[in-house]
Amino acid sequence: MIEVQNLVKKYGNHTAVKGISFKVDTGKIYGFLGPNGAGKSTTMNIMTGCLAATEGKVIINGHDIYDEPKEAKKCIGYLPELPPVYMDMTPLEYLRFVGKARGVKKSELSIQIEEIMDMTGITDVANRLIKNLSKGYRQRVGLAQALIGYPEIIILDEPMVGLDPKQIIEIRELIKSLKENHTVFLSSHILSEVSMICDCVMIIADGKLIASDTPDNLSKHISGNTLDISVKGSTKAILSALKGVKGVGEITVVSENEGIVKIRITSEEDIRSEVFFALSSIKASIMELSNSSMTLEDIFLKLTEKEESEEKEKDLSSEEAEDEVSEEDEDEEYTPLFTSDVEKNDKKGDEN
Amino acid sequence: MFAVYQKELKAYFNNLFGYLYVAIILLFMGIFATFYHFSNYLVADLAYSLDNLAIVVMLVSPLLTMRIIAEERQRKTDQLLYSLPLSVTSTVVAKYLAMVTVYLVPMLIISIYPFVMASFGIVNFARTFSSILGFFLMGSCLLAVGMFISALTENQIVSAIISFVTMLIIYFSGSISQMIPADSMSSFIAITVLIVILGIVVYIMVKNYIAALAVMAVFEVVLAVFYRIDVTAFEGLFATIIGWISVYERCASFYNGIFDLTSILYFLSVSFLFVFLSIQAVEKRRWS
Repeated sequence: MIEVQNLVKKYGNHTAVKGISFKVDTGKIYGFLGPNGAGKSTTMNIMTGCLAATEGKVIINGHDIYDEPKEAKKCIGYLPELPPVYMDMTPLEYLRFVGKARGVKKSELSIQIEEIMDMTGITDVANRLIKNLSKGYRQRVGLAQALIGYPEIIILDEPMVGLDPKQIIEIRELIKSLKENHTVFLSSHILSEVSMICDCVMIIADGKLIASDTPDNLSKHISGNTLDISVKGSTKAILSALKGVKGVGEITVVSENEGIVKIRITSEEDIRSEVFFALSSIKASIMELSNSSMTLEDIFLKLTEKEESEEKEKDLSSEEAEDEVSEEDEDEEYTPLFTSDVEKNDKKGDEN
Repeated sequence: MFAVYQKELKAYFNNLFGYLYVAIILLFMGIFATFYHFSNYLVADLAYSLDNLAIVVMLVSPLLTMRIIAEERQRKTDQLLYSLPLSVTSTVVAKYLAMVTVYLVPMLIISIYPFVMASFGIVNFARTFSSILGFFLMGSCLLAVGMFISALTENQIVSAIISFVTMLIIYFSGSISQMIPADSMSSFIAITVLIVILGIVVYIMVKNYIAALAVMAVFEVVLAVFYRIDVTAFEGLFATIIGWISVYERCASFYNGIFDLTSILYFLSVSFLFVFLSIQAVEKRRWS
């Protein structure tokens, strides 16, 4: 289990991470999402002890990464953004070195290396120099390194970068299979990837955690009900009919093509049947009707936009009440917009 | 720690640098030995060739030290070392020991020389091996200095060039100090120059103008105060200070067959100091 408490990292005057706190439970895959420069790598580097935090704590299986680095690091396998491979070694030598450094017993090491090379698909290149391997293979060697010693927690910084589509599928399956015995914490800026394999998604933007939930819940929370329909008929008649439907929110015409109109409707409740009857009453036939759920891309954009607009509002209000600011702002802790039910339950459990 | 040591040792002999280092030292040792002991002069004292070999060892030691830490940083493999359950201290010490081990290879081969020489005449073994020991300790010191420079830089080439220049300065520091007049004012100015150099090193380490200037100011003020109190003490002071710094000059007593404990202590503490500084420089990277 990883516990990150109020992590802050400053590089000179620039603050890369602005007070992130979260908990990572055992046996799940966590996705860490954010645009470039959001602070993902910095956070992961701090979690693995590669960087020291300006403020805050990282506790891994009860060991603080600064106070007891050895114990904490024994539980971690880490694949940084660039695979940290030695060019003059072969994958076999490299993995043996990592195994020895992690303190894996000699008798177990050879078996482990064989297993892991098989899992990551690098058995064929085991005796070639890493400098002669392609980016995809180096990435896999890096991943194999993170698995050596089978640490409880595996932290992967953008593990899919540089892989071809077939390899991506293989690695995805591999990561999914790791879930049984390990906790996986991976970062990515490709949202579809994360939604496919992660049990929990944390969205980070501009050094702050803005959401944390299961991919499904995230899309449900934010998208509300949105209908995409394709109707045959005249646009005018269709629009007037739709406006008559109870509970309709915004109506936008997406496209008109050869008498088929594509429309997007937002609403508070499920109004599919109302829409159906309204359109059938004017004899406009529905070619397609679907409840569109938002993709993580949309959620992401929406959340980051929200964050920005909130900040703007804050700035405006702070300008209005210049004198009143100061102390209150400092005390203010950032709370994520959503926390998953699991976490809520955890909190209740803690209180009990 | 042993894993890192093994890895570094392998790295030297997986590419050219380790072989090149050993080969150059042995080549020059062979040339000097032929010249002094086997053909022209026929002296039985190995110190003659070792004294000449010193400059060679100084100039080739960047071959070992340039990559030792800078390469990890350049290739981002330092992240792996940080994330493994190893302390920075044990990693840096292991790296240093690996370099010393490579250096030990030519030194062991050179240790055969006296036995070969003994078959042609009388060799004072105690004196010869004291020379070899002194020489070995000096070289180990240089490796520590080089490692520190490697820890400060991110680029192997820059690291090599700075090490190279530093080695030349160490070698010629004796002659340089003799060129500077012995009067107190010249000493004062020369020491001020040293303080400025120290300030630059501090700046490179902490990347902070204020800290570097503060260090310089403190030393300069102390210097000025002492200058006020006792001008005469400054006569020839620079040469004395250089005498402390000059690793090369320290070897002289070993060559004379004196098993000089202070010099041994000196070499060990300089090595220790620079290994310690390297550890700090690497550790500091995590905090930047």
